[in-house]
Amino acid sequence: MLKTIVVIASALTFVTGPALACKGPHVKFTDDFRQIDDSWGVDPKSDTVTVEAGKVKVKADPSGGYTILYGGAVFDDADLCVTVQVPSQTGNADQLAAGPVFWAQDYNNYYTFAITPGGSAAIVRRIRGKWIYVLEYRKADGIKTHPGEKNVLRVTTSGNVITSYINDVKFASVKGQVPENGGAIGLHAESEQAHRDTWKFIDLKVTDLPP
Amino acid sequence: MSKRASAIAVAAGLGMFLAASSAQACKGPHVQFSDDFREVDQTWGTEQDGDAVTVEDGKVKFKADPDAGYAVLYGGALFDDADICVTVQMPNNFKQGDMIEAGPLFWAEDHSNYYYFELDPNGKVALERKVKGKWVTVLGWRQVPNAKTGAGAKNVLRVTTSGNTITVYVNDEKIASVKGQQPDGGGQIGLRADSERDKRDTWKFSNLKVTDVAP
Repeated sequence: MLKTIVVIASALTFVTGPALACKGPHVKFTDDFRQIDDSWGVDPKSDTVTVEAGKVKVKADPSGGYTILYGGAVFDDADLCVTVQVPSQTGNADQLAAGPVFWAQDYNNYYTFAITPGGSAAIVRRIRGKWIYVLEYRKADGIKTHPGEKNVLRVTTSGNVITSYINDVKFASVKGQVPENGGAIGLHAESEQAHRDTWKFIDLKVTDLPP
Repeated sequence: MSKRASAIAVAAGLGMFLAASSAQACKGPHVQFSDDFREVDQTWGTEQDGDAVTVEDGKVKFKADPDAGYAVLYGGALFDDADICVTVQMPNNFKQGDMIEAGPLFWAEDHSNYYYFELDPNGKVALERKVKGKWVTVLGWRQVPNAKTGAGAKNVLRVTTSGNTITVYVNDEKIASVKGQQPDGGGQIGLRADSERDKRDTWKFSNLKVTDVAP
Protein backbone atom coordinates (compact mmCIF):
# COMPACT_ATOMS: atom_id res chain seq x y z
CA MET A 1 0.00 0.00 0.00
CA LEU A 2 1.35 3.34 -0.90
CA LYS A 3 1.24 5.84 1.81
CA THR A 4 2.51 9.31 2.05
CA ILE A 5 3.07 11.02 5.33
CA VAL A 6 3.11 14.71 4.95
CA VAL A 7 3.34 16.44 8.26
CA ILE A 8 2.68 19.93 7.10
CA ALA A 9 1.75 20.35 3.53
CA SER A 10 -0.23 22.75 1.50
CA ALA A 11 -3.80 21.84 0.72
CA LEU A 12 -3.41 23.12 -2.79
CA THR A 13 -0.54 20.78 -3.34
CA PHE A 14 -1.89 17.61 -1.88
CA VAL A 15 -5.63 17.62 -1.61
CA THR A 16 -6.81 15.66 -4.57
CA GLY A 17 -9.45 13.52 -2.91
CA PRO A 18 -13.18 13.61 -3.45
CA ALA A 19 -15.22 16.59 -2.35
CA LEU A 20 -16.69 14.51 0.43
CA ALA A 21 -13.35 13.72 2.03
CA CYS A 22 -11.37 15.27 4.86
CA LYS A 23 -11.57 19.03 5.21
CA GLY A 24 -8.36 19.99 6.98
CA PRO A 25 -5.83 22.09 5.07
CA HIS A 26 -2.80 19.95 5.90
CA VAL A 27 -2.54 16.34 4.86
CA LYS A 28 -0.90 14.18 7.50
CA PHE A 29 -1.26 10.81 5.81
CA THR A 30 -2.62 9.31 2.61
CA ASP A 31 -2.71 5.91 1.06
CA ASP A 32 -3.99 5.29 -2.44
CA PHE A 33 -3.40 1.55 -2.09
CA ARG A 34 -1.36 1.17 -5.25
CA GLN A 35 1.71 -0.27 -3.58
CA ILE A 36 2.28 -2.39 -0.53
CA ASP A 37 3.30 -0.47 2.56
CA ASP A 38 4.68 -2.84 5.14
CA SER A 39 3.67 -0.42 7.88
CA TRP A 40 0.23 -1.99 7.62
CA GLY A 41 1.60 -5.26 8.93
CA VAL A 42 -0.31 -7.33 6.42
CA ASP A 43 0.53 -11.02 6.21
CA PRO A 44 1.57 -11.56 2.56
CA LYS A 45 0.78 -15.26 2.79
CA SER A 46 -2.84 -14.69 3.72
CA ASP A 47 -5.64 -13.79 1.32
CA THR A 48 -7.58 -11.88 3.98
CA VAL A 49 -6.12 -8.54 2.93
CA THR A 50 -5.02 -7.85 -0.61
CA VAL A 51 -4.27 -4.75 -2.61
CA GLU A 52 -5.47 -4.32 -6.14
CA ALA A 53 -5.84 -1.35 -8.45
CA GLY A 54 -5.96 1.29 -5.78
CA LYS A 55 -8.23 -0.66 -3.47
CA VAL A 56 -7.50 -2.70 -0.40
CA LYS A 57 -9.77 -5.71 -0.16
CA VAL A 58 -10.56 -7.24 3.22
CA LYS A 59 -12.19 -10.66 3.40
CA ALA A 60 -12.86 -11.58 7.00
CA ASP A 61 -13.83 -15.13 7.87
CA PRO A 62 -17.56 -15.90 8.15
CA SER A 63 -19.01 -14.47 11.36
CA GLY A 64 -15.68 -12.82 11.98
CA GLY A 65 -14.04 -9.45 11.78
CA TYR A 66 -10.62 -8.40 10.60
CA THR A 67 -8.69 -5.30 11.56
CA ILE A 68 -5.50 -3.88 10.18
CA LEU A 69 -3.65 -1.06 11.85
CA TYR A 70 -1.18 1.35 10.34
CA GLY A 71 1.95 1.37 12.46
CA GLY A 72 3.64 4.35 10.90
CA ALA A 73 2.03 7.21 12.79
CA VAL A 74 -0.30 8.12 15.61
CA PHE A 75 -2.89 10.86 15.53
CA ASP A 76 -4.79 12.84 18.16
CA ASP A 77 -6.83 15.72 16.75
CA ALA A 78 -7.43 14.70 13.16
CA ASP A 79 -9.80 14.45 10.22
CA LEU A 80 -9.87 10.88 8.85
CA CYS A 81 -11.69 9.82 5.72
CA VAL A 82 -11.91 6.73 3.58
CA THR A 83 -14.16 5.43 0.83
CA VAL A 84 -15.82 2.15 1.71
CA GLN A 85 -17.27 0.02 -1.08
CA VAL A 86 -20.19 -2.27 -0.28
CA PRO A 87 -19.52 -5.93 -1.17
CA SER A 88 -20.84 -7.05 -4.52
CA GLN A 89 -22.55 -10.04 -3.01
CA THR A 90 -24.13 -10.14 0.41
CA GLY A 91 -26.74 -12.29 2.08
CA ASN A 92 -27.88 -10.75 5.32
CA ALA A 93 -27.12 -7.05 4.97
CA ASP A 94 -27.25 -6.38 8.70
CA GLN A 95 -24.68 -9.00 9.62
CA LEU A 96 -21.68 -7.36 8.00
CA ALA A 97 -20.04 -4.03 8.57
CA ALA A 98 -16.92 -2.08 7.77
CA GLY A 99 -15.26 1.24 8.36
CA PRO A 100 -12.21 3.12 9.56
CA VAL A 101 -10.41 2.50 12.83
CA PHE A 102 -9.04 5.33 14.96
CA TRP A 103 -7.53 5.95 18.39
CA ALA A 104 -6.02 2.48 18.27
CA GLN A 105 -3.48 1.44 20.88
CA ASP A 106 -3.25 -2.13 19.66
CA TYR A 107 -5.51 -4.82 18.19
CA ASN A 108 -7.45 -5.11 21.43
CA ASN A 109 -7.98 -1.41 22.04
CA TYR A 110 -9.42 0.88 19.37
CA TYR A 111 -12.51 2.66 18.04
CA THR A 112 -14.25 1.98 14.76
CA PHE A 113 -16.95 3.80 12.85
CA ALA A 114 -18.78 1.18 10.80
CA ILE A 115 -21.64 0.99 8.34
CA THR A 116 -23.72 -1.95 7.16
CA PRO A 117 -25.25 -2.62 3.73
CA GLY A 118 -28.54 -2.54 5.61
CA GLY A 119 -28.15 1.23 6.00
CA SER A 120 -27.11 1.39 9.65
CA ALA A 121 -24.04 2.83 11.32
CA ALA A 122 -22.44 2.65 14.74
CA ILE A 123 -19.42 3.77 16.72
CA VAL A 124 -17.94 0.84 18.58
CA ARG A 125 -15.00 0.60 20.92
CA ARG A 126 -12.82 -2.42 21.49
CA ILE A 127 -11.30 -2.36 24.94
CA ARG A 128 -9.13 -5.15 26.28
CA GLY A 129 -10.49 -7.38 23.56
CA LYS A 130 -14.16 -6.76 24.31
CA TRP A 131 -16.61 -4.70 22.28
CA ILE A 132 -18.67 -1.92 23.79
CA TYR A 133 -21.00 0.36 21.91
CA VAL A 134 -20.22 4.03 22.09
CA LEU A 135 -23.24 4.52 19.84
CA GLU A 136 -25.30 1.46 18.94
CA TYR A 137 -26.25 0.62 15.36
CA ARG A 138 -28.97 2.90 14.07
CA LYS A 139 -30.37 3.80 10.70
CA ALA A 140 -28.35 6.52 9.02
CA ASP A 141 -29.53 8.77 6.24
CA GLY A 142 -27.55 8.76 3.06
CA ILE A 143 -25.81 5.40 3.18
CA LYS A 144 -25.58 3.89 -0.28
CA THR A 145 -26.53 0.30 0.27
CA HIS A 146 -26.51 -1.38 -3.11
CA PRO A 147 -23.80 -3.89 -4.01
CA GLY A 148 -20.64 -2.15 -5.19
CA GLU A 149 -21.75 1.32 -4.13
CA LYS A 150 -19.27 3.58 -2.40
CA ASN A 151 -19.63 5.62 0.77
CA VAL A 152 -17.18 8.16 2.10
CA LEU A 153 -16.85 7.73 5.85
CA ARG A 154 -15.25 10.54 7.79
CA VAL A 155 -14.32 10.84 11.43
CA THR A 156 -13.02 13.95 13.11
CA THR A 157 -11.49 13.79 16.57
CA SER A 158 -11.00 16.94 18.59
CA GLY A 159 -10.06 16.51 22.21
CA ASN A 160 -12.36 13.76 23.45
CA VAL A 161 -15.08 14.51 20.89
CA ILE A 162 -15.66 12.16 17.97
CA THR A 163 -17.78 13.40 15.08
CA SER A 164 -18.75 11.03 12.29
CA TYR A 165 -20.05 11.69 8.80
CA ILE A 166 -21.38 9.57 5.95
CA ASN A 167 -21.10 11.11 2.51
CA ASP A 168 -20.72 14.52 4.10
CA VAL A 169 -23.88 14.14 6.20
CA LYS A 170 -23.21 14.30 9.93
CA PHE A 171 -24.11 11.04 11.62
CA ALA A 172 -23.31 11.64 15.29
CA SER A 173 -21.05 13.44 17.71
CA VAL A 174 -20.05 11.54 20.82
CA LYS A 175 -17.47 11.57 23.57
CA GLY A 176 -14.62 9.13 23.90
CA GLN A 177 -11.32 8.55 25.63
CA VAL A 178 -8.38 9.49 23.42
CA PRO A 179 -5.26 7.47 24.11
CA GLU A 180 -2.43 9.42 25.62
CA ASN A 181 -0.32 10.84 22.77
CA GLY A 182 -2.92 9.81 20.20
CA GLY A 183 -3.72 6.55 18.48
CA ALA A 184 -3.15 4.64 15.28
CA ILE A 185 -5.59 4.43 12.41
CA GLY A 186 -6.71 1.38 10.53
CA LEU A 187 -9.47 -0.45 8.73
CA HIS A 188 -12.00 -2.95 10.00
CA ALA A 189 -14.33 -5.28 8.10
CA GLU A 190 -16.77 -7.96 9.20
CA SER A 191 -18.35 -10.82 7.29
CA GLU A 192 -21.80 -12.28 7.71
CA GLN A 193 -22.49 -15.70 9.13
CA ALA A 194 -22.62 -17.71 5.96
CA HIS A 195 -19.67 -16.54 3.89
CA ARG A 196 -16.67 -14.27 3.50
CA ASP A 197 -17.72 -10.83 2.35
CA THR A 198 -15.31 -8.69 0.39
CA TRP A 199 -15.15 -5.09 1.57
CA LYS A 200 -13.02 -2.63 -0.37
CA PHE A 201 -11.40 0.55 0.93
CA ILE A 202 -10.19 3.41 -1.27
CA ASP A 203 -8.48 6.77 -0.75
CA LEU A 204 -7.60 6.72 2.90
CA LYS A 205 -6.52 10.10 4.14
CA VAL A 206 -5.86 11.98 7.35
CA THR A 207 -5.66 15.75 7.60
CA ASP A 208 -5.58 18.13 10.50
CA LEU A 209 -8.88 19.63 11.52
CA PRO A 210 -10.44 22.33 9.38
CA PRO A 211 -10.23 25.79 10.91
CA MET B 1 -35.13 -6.26 38.27
CA SER B 2 -36.39 -8.02 41.33
CA LYS B 3 -39.75 -6.35 41.22
CA ARG B 4 -40.73 -6.89 37.65
CA ALA B 5 -39.64 -7.71 34.22
CA SER B 6 -37.83 -5.09 32.29
CA ALA B 7 -37.73 -3.93 28.74
CA ILE B 8 -34.48 -2.25 27.99
CA ALA B 9 -33.59 0.11 25.28
CA VAL B 10 -31.47 3.03 24.52
CA ALA B 11 -32.74 6.48 25.04
CA ALA B 12 -32.86 10.24 24.56
CA GLY B 13 -30.51 13.13 24.29
CA LEU B 14 -28.60 14.35 27.23
CA GLY B 15 -25.96 16.94 27.92
CA MET B 16 -22.50 17.18 29.29
CA PHE B 17 -21.26 20.12 31.27
CA LEU B 18 -19.54 20.42 34.56
CA ALA B 19 -22.25 20.04 37.10
CA ALA B 20 -22.72 22.24 40.11
CA SER B 21 -21.60 20.20 43.05
CA SER B 22 -23.97 19.35 45.84
CA ALA B 23 -22.93 18.91 49.43
CA GLN B 24 -24.23 15.38 49.30
CA ALA B 25 -22.57 14.52 46.02
CA CYS B 26 -19.37 12.74 45.11
CA LYS B 27 -16.38 13.40 47.34
CA GLY B 28 -13.39 12.74 45.09
CA PRO B 29 -11.17 15.71 44.27
CA HIS B 30 -11.08 15.11 40.51
CA VAL B 31 -14.20 15.17 38.37
CA GLN B 32 -14.02 12.44 35.73
CA PHE B 33 -17.43 13.02 34.24
CA SER B 34 -20.44 15.20 34.81
CA ASP B 35 -23.68 15.93 33.06
CA ASP B 36 -26.07 18.71 33.98
CA PHE B 37 -28.52 17.65 31.28
CA ARG B 38 -28.75 20.98 29.55
CA GLU B 39 -27.37 19.94 26.19
CA VAL B 40 -27.85 16.86 24.08
CA ASP B 41 -24.95 14.43 24.19
CA GLN B 42 -25.39 11.63 21.68
CA THR B 43 -22.92 9.52 23.60
CA TRP B 44 -25.91 8.42 25.65
CA GLY B 45 -26.98 6.48 22.57
CA THR B 46 -30.51 7.69 22.70
CA GLU B 47 -33.29 6.97 20.27
CA GLN B 48 -34.19 9.90 18.08
CA ASP B 49 -37.86 9.00 18.11
CA GLY B 50 -39.81 8.03 21.16
CA ASP B 51 -40.48 9.85 24.41
CA ALA B 52 -39.05 7.38 26.93
CA VAL B 53 -36.21 9.77 27.76
CA THR B 54 -36.30 13.54 27.38
CA VAL B 55 -34.18 16.40 28.65
CA GLU B 56 -35.70 19.51 30.19
CA ASP B 57 -34.31 22.27 32.41
CA GLY B 58 -31.30 20.39 33.63
CA LYS B 59 -33.19 17.19 34.28
CA VAL B 60 -33.47 14.01 32.32
CA LYS B 61 -36.93 12.50 32.48
CA PHE B 62 -37.53 8.78 32.15
CA LYS B 63 -40.92 7.37 31.25
CA ALA B 64 -40.63 3.63 31.01
CA ASP B 65 -43.54 1.67 29.62
CA PRO B 66 -46.00 0.22 32.13
CA ASP B 67 -44.59 -2.79 33.96
CA ALA B 68 -41.17 -2.24 32.42
CA GLY B 69 -37.85 -0.58 32.99
CA TYR B 70 -35.80 1.69 30.79
CA ALA B 71 -32.04 2.05 30.90
CA VAL B 72 -29.48 4.22 29.18
CA LEU B 73 -25.74 3.69 29.21
CA TYR B 74 -23.07 6.31 28.60
CA GLY B 75 -20.74 4.98 25.92
CA GLY B 76 -18.04 7.59 26.19
CA ALA B 77 -15.98 6.34 29.09
CA LEU B 78 -15.33 3.41 31.37
CA PHE B 79 -14.84 3.69 35.11
CA ASP B 80 -13.20 1.32 37.58
CA ASP B 81 -12.54 2.93 40.97
CA ALA B 82 -14.99 5.81 41.10
CA ASP B 83 -17.44 7.88 43.10
CA ILE B 84 -20.77 8.20 41.27
CA CYS B 85 -23.60 10.42 42.39
CA VAL B 86 -26.92 11.56 40.98
CA THR B 87 -30.04 13.25 42.28
CA VAL B 88 -33.16 11.15 41.79
CA GLN B 89 -36.58 12.79 41.85
CA MET B 90 -39.65 10.64 42.46
CA PRO B 91 -42.68 10.79 40.17
CA ASN B 92 -45.36 13.33 41.00
CA ASN B 93 -48.07 10.80 40.41
CA PHE B 94 -47.85 7.15 41.25
CA LYS B 95 -50.24 4.58 42.61
CA GLN B 96 -48.13 1.69 43.77
CA GLY B 97 -44.95 3.00 45.35
CA ASP B 98 -43.57 -0.42 46.07
CA MET B 99 -43.65 -1.34 42.42
CA ILE B 100 -41.44 1.37 41.00
CA GLU B 101 -37.85 2.41 41.45
CA ALA B 102 -35.00 4.26 39.82
CA GLY B 103 -31.31 4.93 40.23
CA PRO B 104 -27.83 4.87 38.78
CA LEU B 105 -26.20 2.00 36.88
CA PHE B 106 -22.52 1.19 37.13
CA TRP B 107 -20.00 -1.44 36.06
CA ALA B 108 -22.09 -1.94 32.94
CA GLU B 109 -20.73 -4.05 30.11
CA ASP B 110 -23.87 -3.79 28.00
CA HIS B 111 -27.64 -3.72 28.47
CA SER B 112 -27.64 -7.27 29.79
CA ASN B 113 -24.84 -6.91 32.33
CA TYR B 114 -24.75 -4.14 34.93
CA TYR B 115 -25.32 -3.15 38.56
CA TYR B 116 -28.37 -1.10 39.59
CA PHE B 117 -28.61 0.90 42.85
CA GLU B 118 -32.31 1.62 43.11
CA LEU B 119 -34.63 3.64 45.32
CA ASP B 120 -38.42 3.36 45.59
CA PRO B 121 -40.89 6.10 46.60
CA ASN B 122 -41.26 4.58 50.08
CA GLY B 123 -37.62 5.21 50.84
CA LYS B 124 -36.37 1.69 50.37
CA VAL B 125 -33.22 0.84 48.44
CA ALA B 126 -31.69 -2.26 46.93
CA LEU B 127 -28.65 -3.17 44.89
CA GLU B 128 -29.23 -5.58 42.09
CA ARG B 129 -27.11 -6.98 39.35
CA LYS B 130 -28.13 -7.99 35.87
CA VAL B 131 -26.04 -10.90 34.63
CA LYS B 132 -26.61 -12.12 31.10
CA GLY B 133 -30.06 -10.57 31.24
CA LYS B 134 -31.09 -12.15 34.54
CA TRP B 135 -31.44 -10.34 37.85
CA VAL B 136 -29.41 -11.24 40.91
CA THR B 137 -30.00 -9.47 44.23
CA VAL B 138 -26.75 -8.19 45.72
CA LEU B 139 -28.38 -6.26 48.57
CA GLY B 140 -32.06 -6.86 49.37
CA TRP B 141 -34.62 -4.10 49.84
CA ARG B 142 -34.21 -2.16 53.06
CA GLN B 143 -35.66 1.01 54.54
CA VAL B 144 -33.49 4.13 54.59
CA PRO B 145 -34.47 6.30 57.58
CA ASN B 146 -33.31 9.60 56.11
CA ALA B 147 -34.74 9.07 52.63
CA LYS B 148 -37.18 11.71 51.44
CA THR B 149 -40.38 10.06 50.33
CA GLY B 150 -43.49 10.93 48.44
CA ALA B 151 -44.38 12.65 45.22
CA GLY B 152 -41.56 14.76 43.76
CA ALA B 153 -39.12 14.03 46.58
CA LYS B 154 -35.42 14.28 45.73
CA ASN B 155 -32.64 12.08 47.07
CA VAL B 156 -28.95 11.97 46.26
CA LEU B 157 -27.86 8.42 45.47
CA ARG B 158 -24.15 7.77 45.61
CA VAL B 159 -22.08 4.70 44.79
CA THR B 160 -18.36 4.33 45.36
CA THR B 161 -16.41 1.48 43.80
CA SER B 162 -12.94 0.60 44.96
CA GLY B 163 -11.45 -2.65 43.78
CA ASN B 164 -14.28 -5.14 44.15
CA THR B 165 -15.97 -3.20 46.96
CA ILE B 166 -19.19 -1.29 46.34
CA THR B 167 -20.44 1.21 48.92
CA VAL B 168 -23.86 2.81 48.57
CA TYR B 169 -25.18 5.99 50.17
CA VAL B 170 -28.46 7.91 50.28
CA ASN B 171 -28.28 11.61 51.15
CA ASP B 172 -24.77 11.13 52.51
CA GLU B 173 -25.77 8.28 54.79
CA LYS B 174 -23.89 5.05 54.24
CA ILE B 175 -26.30 2.21 53.62
CA ALA B 176 -24.05 -0.78 52.99
CA SER B 177 -20.75 -1.97 51.65
CA VAL B 178 -20.76 -5.14 49.57
CA LYS B 179 -18.48 -7.08 47.25
CA GLY B 180 -18.98 -7.28 43.50
CA GLN B 181 -17.25 -8.26 40.28
CA GLN B 182 -15.80 -5.32 38.47
CA PRO B 183 -15.59 -5.78 34.69
CA ASP B 184 -12.08 -6.04 33.35
CA GLY B 185 -11.05 -2.54 32.36
CA GLY B 186 -13.96 -0.92 34.19
CA GLY B 187 -17.56 -0.44 33.20
CA GLN B 188 -19.99 2.09 31.84
CA ILE B 189 -22.32 4.18 33.94
CA GLY B 190 -25.98 4.77 33.23
CA LEU B 191 -29.45 5.51 34.53
CA ARG B 192 -32.54 3.38 34.87
CA ALA B 193 -36.16 3.85 35.90
CA ASP B 194 -39.06 1.45 36.23
CA SER B 195 -42.79 2.05 35.91
CA GLU B 196 -45.64 0.39 37.74
CA ARG B 197 -47.94 -2.15 36.19
CA ASP B 198 -50.67 0.08 34.80
CA LYS B 199 -49.05 3.38 33.90
CA ARG B 200 -45.89 5.13 32.82
CA ASP B 201 -44.21 6.82 35.76
CA THR B 202 -41.97 9.85 35.25
CA TRP B 203 -38.70 9.74 37.15
CA LYS B 204 -36.24 12.62 36.91
CA PHE B 205 -32.47 12.65 37.29
CA SER B 206 -30.20 15.65 37.73
CA ASN B 207 -26.56 16.47 38.51
CA LEU B 208 -24.96 13.22 37.46
CA LYS B 209 -21.28 13.22 38.34
CA VAL B 210 -18.35 10.85 38.62
CA THR B 211 -15.18 11.68 40.53
CA ASP B 212 -12.25 9.62 41.60
CA VAL B 213 -12.49 8.05 45.02
CA ALA B 214 -11.89 10.40 47.93
CA PRO B 215 -8.59 9.83 49.73
